[in-house]
Amino acid sequence: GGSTTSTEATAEDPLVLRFAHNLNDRHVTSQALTAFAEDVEERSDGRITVRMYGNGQLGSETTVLGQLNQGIVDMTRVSAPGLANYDPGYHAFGLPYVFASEEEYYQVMDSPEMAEFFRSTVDQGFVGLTYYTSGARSFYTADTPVRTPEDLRGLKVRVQDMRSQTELMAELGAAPIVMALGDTYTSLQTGLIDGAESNETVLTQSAHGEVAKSFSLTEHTRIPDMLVISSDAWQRLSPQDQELLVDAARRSTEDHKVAWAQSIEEAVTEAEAMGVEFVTDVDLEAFREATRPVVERYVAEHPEVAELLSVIEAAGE
Amino acid sequence: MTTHDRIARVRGVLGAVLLATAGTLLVLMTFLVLYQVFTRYVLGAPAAFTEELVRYALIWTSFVSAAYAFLHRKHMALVLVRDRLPGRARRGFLLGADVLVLLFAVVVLVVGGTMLALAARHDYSALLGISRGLVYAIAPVSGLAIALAQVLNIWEDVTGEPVVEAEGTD
Amino acid sequence: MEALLAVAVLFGVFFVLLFAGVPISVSLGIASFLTALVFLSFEESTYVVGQQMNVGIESFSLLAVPLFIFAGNIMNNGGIARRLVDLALVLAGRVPGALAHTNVLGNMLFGSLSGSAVAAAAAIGGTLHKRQKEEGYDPAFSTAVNIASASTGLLIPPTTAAIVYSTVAGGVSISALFMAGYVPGILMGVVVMVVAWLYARRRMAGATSPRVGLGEGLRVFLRAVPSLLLVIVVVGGIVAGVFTATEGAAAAVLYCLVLSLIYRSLSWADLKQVVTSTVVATGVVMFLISASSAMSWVMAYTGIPTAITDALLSTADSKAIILLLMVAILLVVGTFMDITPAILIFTPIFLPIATELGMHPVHFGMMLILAMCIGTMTPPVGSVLFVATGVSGVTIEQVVPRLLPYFAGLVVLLLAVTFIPALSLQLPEWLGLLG
Ligand code: NA
Ligand code: NA
Repeated sequence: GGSTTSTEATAEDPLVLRFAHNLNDRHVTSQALTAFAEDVEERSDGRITVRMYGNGQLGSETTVLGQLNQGIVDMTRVSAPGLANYDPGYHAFGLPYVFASEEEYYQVMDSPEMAEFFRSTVDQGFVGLTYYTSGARSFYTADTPVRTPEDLRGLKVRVQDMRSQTELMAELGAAPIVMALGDTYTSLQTGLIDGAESNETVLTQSAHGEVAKSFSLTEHTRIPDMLVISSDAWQRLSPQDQELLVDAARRSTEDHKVAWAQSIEEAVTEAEAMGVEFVTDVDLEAFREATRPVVERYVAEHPEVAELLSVIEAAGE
Repeated sequence: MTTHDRIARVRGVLGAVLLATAGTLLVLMTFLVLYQVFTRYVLGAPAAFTEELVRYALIWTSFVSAAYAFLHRKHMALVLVRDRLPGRARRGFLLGADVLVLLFAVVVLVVGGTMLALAARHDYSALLGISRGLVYAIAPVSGLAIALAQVLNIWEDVTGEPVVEAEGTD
Repeated sequence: MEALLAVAVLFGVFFVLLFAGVPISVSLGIASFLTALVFLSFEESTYVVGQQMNVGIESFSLLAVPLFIFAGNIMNNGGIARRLVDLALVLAGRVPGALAHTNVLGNMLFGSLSGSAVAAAAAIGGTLHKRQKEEGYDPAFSTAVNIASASTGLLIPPTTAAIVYSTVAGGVSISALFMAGYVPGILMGVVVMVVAWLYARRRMAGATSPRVGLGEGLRVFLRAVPSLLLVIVVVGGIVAGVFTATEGAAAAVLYCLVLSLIYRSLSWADLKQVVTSTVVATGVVMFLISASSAMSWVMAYTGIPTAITDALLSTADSKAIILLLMVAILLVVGTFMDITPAILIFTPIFLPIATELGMHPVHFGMMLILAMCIGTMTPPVGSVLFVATGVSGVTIEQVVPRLLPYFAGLVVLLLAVTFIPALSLQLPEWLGLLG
């Protein structure tokens, strides 16, 4: 990191923000990040430039967060629960059925209360500028529809490398398997795993629709991506420039919502053409009940989670 | 007991500890991976924890083995220039290289590794709940082992007498 | 500007330390650290180099490297190599220079089990050396043949070179790399056999081995079957998706262990020796990988690969010239650097250029590995050259003139592999491994 402040920066000698993330160039969210970077440069008349390190050049999410914490990179995109090591409140975003619907999800995430929470972690070394949706995650299997938690019992399900996710699976009686997304296709094909969970785009972009023909809309988690800046870089910005960054970030979030909805729609159409059946008559209430203990455990362990859940509840009304 | 004997004994003990640790980890990893295959095809219920455990064990094995290789001067190096130098200069280069390895081990593995381990101590693994701080703690530990190994090697460079190990571990 | 300064510091420090005799891994680590220090504080540089050295080796697929080394070391303990030599002898028996061809075939068969060129040179060349001498073969000739063909096993799977490349290239499919290696690896053996045949036809016309009866041939083959079965179990299992490369490597350890027990070729003392040499090799290779991931990070952070790609693409305008330039650089690098560090250092620099030119990462990997195979046989630093001359007692000065025709033949093969993608890609393509 440097030591210049944004008030000293000029177009000739700009303040450079180093932004690392691990999404590939074609990812919808990666495009939103690029749009954000361009917007910042344009609106600051080149006083602030964002240097992008995409495609995981500087490492995985956790690795880059460590670098952000040290001041080696200034900004990153991270799945919200990844921030829980720094602020346990972020565990809440990995928990099941925190949001009742997509509508409520957007209402809460766009609320002033949430913006305040994003801004509250300066002492923990970072500030959240905005979030990006990554849709609702649901279960998909080779051919078994998942309508009730009973249907999952005994199945081997690939989950993300996150403790809340393995606990969620265990609570549903499934065997959680942590593996790289890249290995999931062959594992589904060979029966090494019975299913996995993600949003609809995985069926087409990772071609899982070729080997998994049943996608059940359990919508058990809505895990946002976070756009964060290190406190160090944040404090080098003048209040006007802080506002400029937040504005650009918010704008990219709004555009991203549209692009995301479109990518989901395309994925569903394409997946249906591949022969994937979307199971919609899921007993959501049963899933909510079955996974309740996970939420309770996190609430008991981390007061910060309880706090954030009440913020979410208040904003959702 | 002369200094030479004491140094030889330290070298022997350090080598034996490093070799036993790395060898055990190596065999353990082999068993875990085989167990993973066994549970998948024979039991039909794949063990999920092995992958995570083995990934961490590999870091441990690598650093401990690296320390063992430093103790025995087995790391790949380009010695063709050094070997053509006259005796005194050659010893100077050898000493310089050994000092640099020592400094590197202290600055990057001991100091950097400690920073890393401390920063990751509340980061728990998904399946076994192992603190990653514990995983990365091997870096400073083997950093210290490498530093000790280099002190022994430097003693050898300076005195010019190769130390015969108390016990044949190589 | 930033990238230029970084290039100067990174490579300047690295080469100075390298030629001063500092271990390659530590040279890489120090060069990376000092380059980071130009742009970051002491604390930040210390943290990030330490971080990369840890996370760079936190990989399940990398475990295949020590496990294949483990399996190879068990295999080297006798029994298996001798049976393969017997088989090769039957196969090559009636050709002029039969024992030389036996050596090549033996190296290829051994290579299809093990990924170590040095082990092949010692085990196969060592087994055949005495016999070749007895039958009047020029020791410099037979040593040259052994040297030129020992590294076929770095291309013919299983091979740790492909696994290391896969990791540093950002997860290129190991199965695809394994399959891609067959054609270049076998061609490498063929080139050596053709050159040896041309030599033997003129100078040692009578040097064929006695005819082997069908019954004897069958018996020799059956004795080698358990060893050859390993290829089907391990490589077949990995390519068919029955297990990952790491699991295949663990299976290879078990298989070699069981086979050695059956052959009674492994005592407790041998086993201890096997574990010790595996620990040493693991420490050396993994520490190199660890340090090179710090280097990769520093290069990405300072924008070195992009700068080099841009510079090269703007100066040389033809794809062929850039490829020839890369081949030339890799051959020079191969003279003084071993295969693993060369793969670790040059993949992050050259792969972006290659992909920019439309080269498939699997194809580039084959070109890189073959270039480095050639490097193992050249002075001043050639691991295979050293081991093979050590085994046969021929001096390097004696063997180098004899090596030149093989070197020339293999460079022609390298150009063919570089400019004909199908040599690398057709086989994995047919098997649907290129995605
Ligand atoms: Na091989
Ligand atoms: Na060489």
